[in-house]
Amino acid sequence: MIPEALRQCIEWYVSAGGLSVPDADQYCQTRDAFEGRLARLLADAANVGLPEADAALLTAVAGEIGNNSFDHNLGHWRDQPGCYFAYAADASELLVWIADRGRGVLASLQQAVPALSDHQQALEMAFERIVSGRHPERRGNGLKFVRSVINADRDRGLVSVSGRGKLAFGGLGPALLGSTGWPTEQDYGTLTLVGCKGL
Amino acid sequence: MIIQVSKFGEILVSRPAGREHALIMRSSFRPATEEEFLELDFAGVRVVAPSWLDEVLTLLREEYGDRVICLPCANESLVQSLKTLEALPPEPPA
Repeated sequence: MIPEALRQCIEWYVSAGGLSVPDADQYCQTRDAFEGRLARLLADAANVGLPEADAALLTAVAGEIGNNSFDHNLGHWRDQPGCYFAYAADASELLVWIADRGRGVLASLQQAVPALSDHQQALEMAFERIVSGRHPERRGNGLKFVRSVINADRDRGLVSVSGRGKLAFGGLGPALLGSTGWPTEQDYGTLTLVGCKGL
Repeated sequence: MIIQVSKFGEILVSRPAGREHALIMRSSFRPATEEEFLELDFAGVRVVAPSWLDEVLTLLREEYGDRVICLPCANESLVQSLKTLEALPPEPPA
C-alpha cells in the first residue's frame, strides 16, 4: 500500500543532516513550484478516473496543506526551504504526501497560543479549531476545510505527524496510520499523507 | 458588475495569490453605482481553496460589503470552501 517513494520521503524527513535536495519531481523549493505541480496532480487524478469533483476537492486539500508549509515556515526553515510533494495514483487509489522540515505545528501555534507546549495538542488544535500561527492575521480555516473534506467520504483518510504529535482521521485514516511507521521522535517538521480509494 | 474569476486561473488555492487577485479585482472592477452588486463568476475555475477565497472575499467586502456575491456554481471545492468560511452568499438582487 505504501509506495517506495513515500518511504524515501520519510527518510528525508527524519534525516539528521547532510541532506541533498530531493528530485524536482518530488520536491518544491518555492510556492510557485508547488502550485505548478498541483495542476499535474489534478490532471493525473482525473486521468486515473477520479471524478472531477473529487479530484478538485483533493487538489484543494493538497493546496491547503502544501501552502501551509510556506505560510508558516518562510523565515523559519530548519535547513532546506520548501516541501516534499509527491503522489501515487492508479485505478484503485490515490495517495498524496506532503512534508517539510520546518518548525512544526507546535512552534507555529505557540505564536497565537503561548501556553501551548505539547505537539499532540497542537496538531489536534490545528485541525479542529480556528487558530493560526500567523497571529494576529485572521487565518486558520484551511485545515478545518481539510478535515471536513476528508470526513465527508468514508473512502478518504489522512494521517498527519508534526514533531512528536500524530493524528489520523477519515474512513481510511486507521488503514493509512497502520500502513507504515510514522516518525515522531523529532521536534520539527510536518508530514501529511492523504488517501482516497475507489476511484 | 461580473468578474470572470477563471481569468485569474483554474486552480486558486493560496493566500498570496488571493491577496494579489483581490487587489487587482478591487482596482479594475468597480461597480458603476452604490447599489450594483459585484458578482464573482467561477465558471471555468476547477479548484478553489478557502485560503484563496478568504483573501478575496475579505478584501472586496471591506470595500463593497454584502454587495460582493459568488454566483451559484456546482464546483464542489467552491461550495465546500464557502461553507468553511461560513460566508454563504446572500440572495442575488431580484
